[in-house]
Amino acid sequence: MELVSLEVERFGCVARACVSFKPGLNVLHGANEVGKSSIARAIRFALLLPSSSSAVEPWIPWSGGGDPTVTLVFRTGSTEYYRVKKVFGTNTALLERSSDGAGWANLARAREVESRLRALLQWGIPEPGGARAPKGLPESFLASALLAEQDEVGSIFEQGLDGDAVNSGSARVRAALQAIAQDPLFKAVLDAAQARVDEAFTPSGQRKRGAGDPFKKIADDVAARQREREEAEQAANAGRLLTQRVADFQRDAVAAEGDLQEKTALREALEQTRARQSEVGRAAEARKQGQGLVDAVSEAEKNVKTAEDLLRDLQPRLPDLRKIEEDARKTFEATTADASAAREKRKGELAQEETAMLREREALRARQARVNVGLDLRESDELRGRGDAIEGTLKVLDSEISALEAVEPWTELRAARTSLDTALRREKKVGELLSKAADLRSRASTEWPTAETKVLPDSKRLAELSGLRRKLEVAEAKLDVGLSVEVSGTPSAMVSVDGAAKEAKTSPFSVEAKTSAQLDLAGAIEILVRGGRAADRDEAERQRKQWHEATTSLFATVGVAEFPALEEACRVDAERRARAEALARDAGVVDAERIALGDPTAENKQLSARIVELERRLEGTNMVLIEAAANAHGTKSHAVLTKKTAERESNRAALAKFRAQEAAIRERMVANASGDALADLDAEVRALEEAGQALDRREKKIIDERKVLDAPPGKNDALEEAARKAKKALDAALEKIASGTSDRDTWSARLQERRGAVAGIDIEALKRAEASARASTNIDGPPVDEAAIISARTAEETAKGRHEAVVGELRKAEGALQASGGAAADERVRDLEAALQRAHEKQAALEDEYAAWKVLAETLKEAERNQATHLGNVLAPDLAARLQALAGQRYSGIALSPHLGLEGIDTAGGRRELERLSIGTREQLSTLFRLCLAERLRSALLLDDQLVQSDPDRLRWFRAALRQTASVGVQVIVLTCRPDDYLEPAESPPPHVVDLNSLTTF
Amino acid sequence: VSGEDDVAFRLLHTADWHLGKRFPSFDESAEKDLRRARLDVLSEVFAAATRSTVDAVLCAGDLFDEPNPGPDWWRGLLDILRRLPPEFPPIFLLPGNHDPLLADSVWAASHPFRAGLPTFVRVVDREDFREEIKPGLVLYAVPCLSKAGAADPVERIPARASGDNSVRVGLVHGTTFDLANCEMNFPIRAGGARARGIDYLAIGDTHGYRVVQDDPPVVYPGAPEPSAFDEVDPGHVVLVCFTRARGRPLLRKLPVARWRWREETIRGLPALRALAAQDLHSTVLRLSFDIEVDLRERDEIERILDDLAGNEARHGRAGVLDADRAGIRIRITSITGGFPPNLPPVLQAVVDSLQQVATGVDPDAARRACIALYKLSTLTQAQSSP
Repeated sequence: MELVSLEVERFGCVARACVSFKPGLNVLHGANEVGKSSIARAIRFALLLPSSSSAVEPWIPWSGGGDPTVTLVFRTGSTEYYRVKKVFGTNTALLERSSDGAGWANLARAREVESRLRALLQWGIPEPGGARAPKGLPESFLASALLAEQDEVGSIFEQGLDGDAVNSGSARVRAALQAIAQDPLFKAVLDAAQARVDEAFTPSGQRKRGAGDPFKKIADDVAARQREREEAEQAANAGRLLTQRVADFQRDAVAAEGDLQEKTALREALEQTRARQSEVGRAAEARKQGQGLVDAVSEAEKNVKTAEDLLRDLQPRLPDLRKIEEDARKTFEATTADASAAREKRKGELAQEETAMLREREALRARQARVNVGLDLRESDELRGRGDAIEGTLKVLDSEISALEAVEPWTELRAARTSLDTALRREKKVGELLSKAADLRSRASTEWPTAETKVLPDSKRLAELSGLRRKLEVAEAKLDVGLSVEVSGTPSAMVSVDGAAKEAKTSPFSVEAKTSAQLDLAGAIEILVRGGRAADRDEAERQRKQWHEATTSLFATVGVAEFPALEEACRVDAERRARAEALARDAGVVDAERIALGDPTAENKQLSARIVELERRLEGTNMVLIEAAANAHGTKSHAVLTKKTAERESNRAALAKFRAQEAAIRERMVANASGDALADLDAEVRALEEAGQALDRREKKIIDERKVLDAPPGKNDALEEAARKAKKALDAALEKIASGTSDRDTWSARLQERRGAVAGIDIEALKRAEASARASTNIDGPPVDEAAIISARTAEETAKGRHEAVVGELRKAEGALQASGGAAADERVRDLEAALQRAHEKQAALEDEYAAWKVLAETLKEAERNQATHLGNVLAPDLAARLQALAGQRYSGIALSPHLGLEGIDTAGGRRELERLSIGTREQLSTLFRLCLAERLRSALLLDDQLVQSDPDRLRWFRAALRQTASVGVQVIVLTCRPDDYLEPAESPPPHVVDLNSLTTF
Repeated sequence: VSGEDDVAFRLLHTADWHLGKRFPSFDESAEKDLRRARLDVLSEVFAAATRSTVDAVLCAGDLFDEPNPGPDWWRGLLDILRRLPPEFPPIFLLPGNHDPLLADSVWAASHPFRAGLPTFVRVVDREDFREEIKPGLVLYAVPCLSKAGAADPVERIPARASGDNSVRVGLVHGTTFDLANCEMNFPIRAGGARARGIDYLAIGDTHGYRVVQDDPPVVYPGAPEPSAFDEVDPGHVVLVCFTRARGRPLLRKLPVARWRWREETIRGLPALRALAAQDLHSTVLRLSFDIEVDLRERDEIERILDDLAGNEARHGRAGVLDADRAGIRIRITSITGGFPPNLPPVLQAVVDSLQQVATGVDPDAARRACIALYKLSTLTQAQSSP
């Protein structure tokens, strides 16, 4: 596309303007506020904004006079001209077409104009009126790139083609760059992966913080469980300490009790000896009591006999009573057909069957016990195997952990050595830079010694002198009227023309002069002829005097004779000054570079000391293992160490658990072991299960049958009464028998008891004991006196005091223990430990999940970068080459996204974000980007004062670059208030220059 | 019924309900199910008592998980007890080491739980508790007064008096002599029950069924509903039958639990398929993996786990599923089957790159590359399927 002409009426500050454009470079210049921005905006509105849009309001002139109207002619080929006219604030819009730019045919009107225009432009802007249609001035990547706005220089970097509402712009750029379209499956996968990455990470790849952080909930959960577990652990530890304390006191108490018992035994022995002295009386009493018990046995035997007599009398009558009762009952049953007796009988049978089943279950339980022993054996073997495996794992983990623990100092050592090398290089570099800066300053000083400069006039003074000289020349020109003097009649004369040296002339002669002629005639006659009016002559004289006053001393000081020589001296001085300033700037850059390198000497010292310290720390370690660990885990070694340590703790806990379980099972096996081991354990387990199930079925049957039996029987009162009476009679007899039986049993029990009591009593022995006691008083040796007993009691009291004190402490400790958490606290710790472990596992799984999404998204992007679908890859090399040509090798590359969004600038120090560049470099980079795009698209490019922050050198470079772009057939339209920035003197062919200062403005 | 083998007395022995116990290893929804199950199972416990026509129900401690449980738990238990008929046999509730008899505990006389209990429910609230359940059947019970203690509660029970022919039943809570760390958790020493003339010692603490001593029986019934994967034989109550002939009582272990806790390590896909085919609706299933699969098999694992765990729209086939996928490894040598045919070159390049990282030396990077490969596989399959 190429713009041909623009007509503007009542738009912004422009009352009326007609601007024509040419192919190639167009420089539209004008002072501030002459309407450059209005012109730029009018072009944008003509191409992009519907005429009825309210977005035009800021551009409606305050002075009124009609609606803003813009007419833009552009062409897309040599025979394809378009003219768009929009009257803003109304629905009036017209799009016409022409093959020669002269005869126009209507193409679209009103709202349809925008649809046709956007289809023509293909800038990624949707048709107006649709769901995705923009409000106000539509935005798109290409609209921003090709119609650059003055105050939004970097806007091209803030978006990519993927931000466009429709993909027409992307398609156009893709066609222009001859890139491959993005595969739909790839796009869907990348979008899905990126969506998950965006849940957890910021655009710069950092983990999100705050409410949107998906890791927060699990991290909070882990932290809460950690706190909970630690609190529970503290409580449990306190309980364990108390447990130990109680155990210690228990041991002390046992020892104190032993001592007490010893003292008590001694005291008792003494007391017994003493007591034997009074044993005689007690022995006599015992003999009397023994005799009483023998008599009580006789009484019981008699009562038993009485009860047995009664039973012998009653029991023969019992069959008859049973018969009577049975007959009555059978009659009742026969009459009522009631099966209650049968039911009762059946109930009895069921009870017996139930008892039999319980015994069978007992037998099963015994078999189960043997099975349990067999299962325990199997489980303990399995636990031992698992424990052994864990021990093997623990050995490996110990080795890995010791290597991982050394990774951090080892890595730091390696980094410190690298840093030391770097610092040494930097130190060398600092020296070089210092030397370079000094050299540059020396050259600057040589180039432009300031002492000489002071004698030269500054540019203002030089301009004043130039003005004076111009006035003098004008004044003298007025005297240049041309003089002609004819002389005759005198033999000779001395003649001076226009102030020149006198020369001799012989009559007749004529003199031709410009301003004056002096003739010395013979006879001392002097004739002076001067041209011009007297006033002009006076003015010329005054100017000459003024000039001499102004220059005589200056010329002498500078050492020049003429004003042109002075001008030349000033020009040479200005050039040298500029070169000196450039050298000083370079020295400043070198200084900045040196300062940026910091203080490497101090760093060297610190790093050397740190290296010595780290080497000392790593002495004696296996470097090979450490290096392997470091290579394997890199920066994650600390996390791996934490994980491995946790894994080791977990394995240790599991090992302890397995060993404890094995020990408990083996202890249980020892306690429960009985008989030989089962030959076929599994068969026995199955057999037991089947037998248990069979018993369950039988039991259910019993329960069901009981329910039926418990249903109420029918009624037949008379017969039932007879049966009841017969039963009552039988029961009465049975009761008497029971009473007799009870009496017999009671007296039999008492007889047994009394016989038991008597069994231990030997009357004869008691008699002998009595006699012996009497005799022992004679063989006990010397009698024990009261003092010996008191002494023994005192010793016993002391031991008792000690015992009570220890027991007191024990009770206190037990009291404290009772107030502790006890086994429940340990159980809680175990529960919370398991919960924490699970939370850690879930956290690791979540982190793996999002890390995997990140890996996937990054790998997808990397693959895309390596494929031709990546528009950025196609355009970036050209852009990077231009940036290098402009700014030097410090910029090694440009990273553009697949959709031409800027991802960063590669420098020697790594990738940098746009914001790290200076404002000037940013505007230059954005202009380069636009030039590249315009060249590829062969489209007109509007640059609205894009390079205001650029220095003269770079502006010079850009002058060439703009012409280079224009030379390949791209129309470049520059709007500027400083035309000299863009124009070269005596250029051929010259660019199309439009002076906007003559615009009609409000 | 007459005869020496007739059953004279029947008791139902239960313990370790742990109402209100937390299960912090599980997610919120599963934890809620498992906590509710502890109350739900009590209906089955009391139904077993009714079916067995017992003379008393002995509840041997740790009935609540803490001395001051939340209102939901004690009100829930109260509701269940109040729904029982008035003629229900006596129920004896014993405070254990988790829910000791403290002044401000749920067992305190002033607590609304105590105040609301039906008359047939007794709380063992003193150390010399004795009650004749029926003539000839006497209960001696000793509550825990603290969370820890070094005293053997059995020693608080008076020895059988001379001439006492009654059936003597002991009810205590503690750790028996053969278990680790029993010393300070109310240790129950060997031979104590026999020395005190006890015919059956009903104890609680361990969550699995155990006959610690045979004669007289010293028995842990275990928790009626399991509470951990490492418990041995939980989920029962014990029916204790005393015959008229006396001698050792007969024991019957009755299952009451709804839930079964299983911990499985899957080492092959057939094992997972077989497991998934089982009825697991009442199973708390913890799965870990030690398995290497290709991408299609990895997908199948995920489908099976989804089927077992359920989702927003439907219940899972497992009651509770806790799956740790960390042990699932991708077999990198045969991944092509996991992607649609004619993969675009750019995506094939991604597959190749991830495959290279997945076989590299950095285990973290390799693992994450495997996960990324799997995700890429699922995304491409989903996008390519009609």
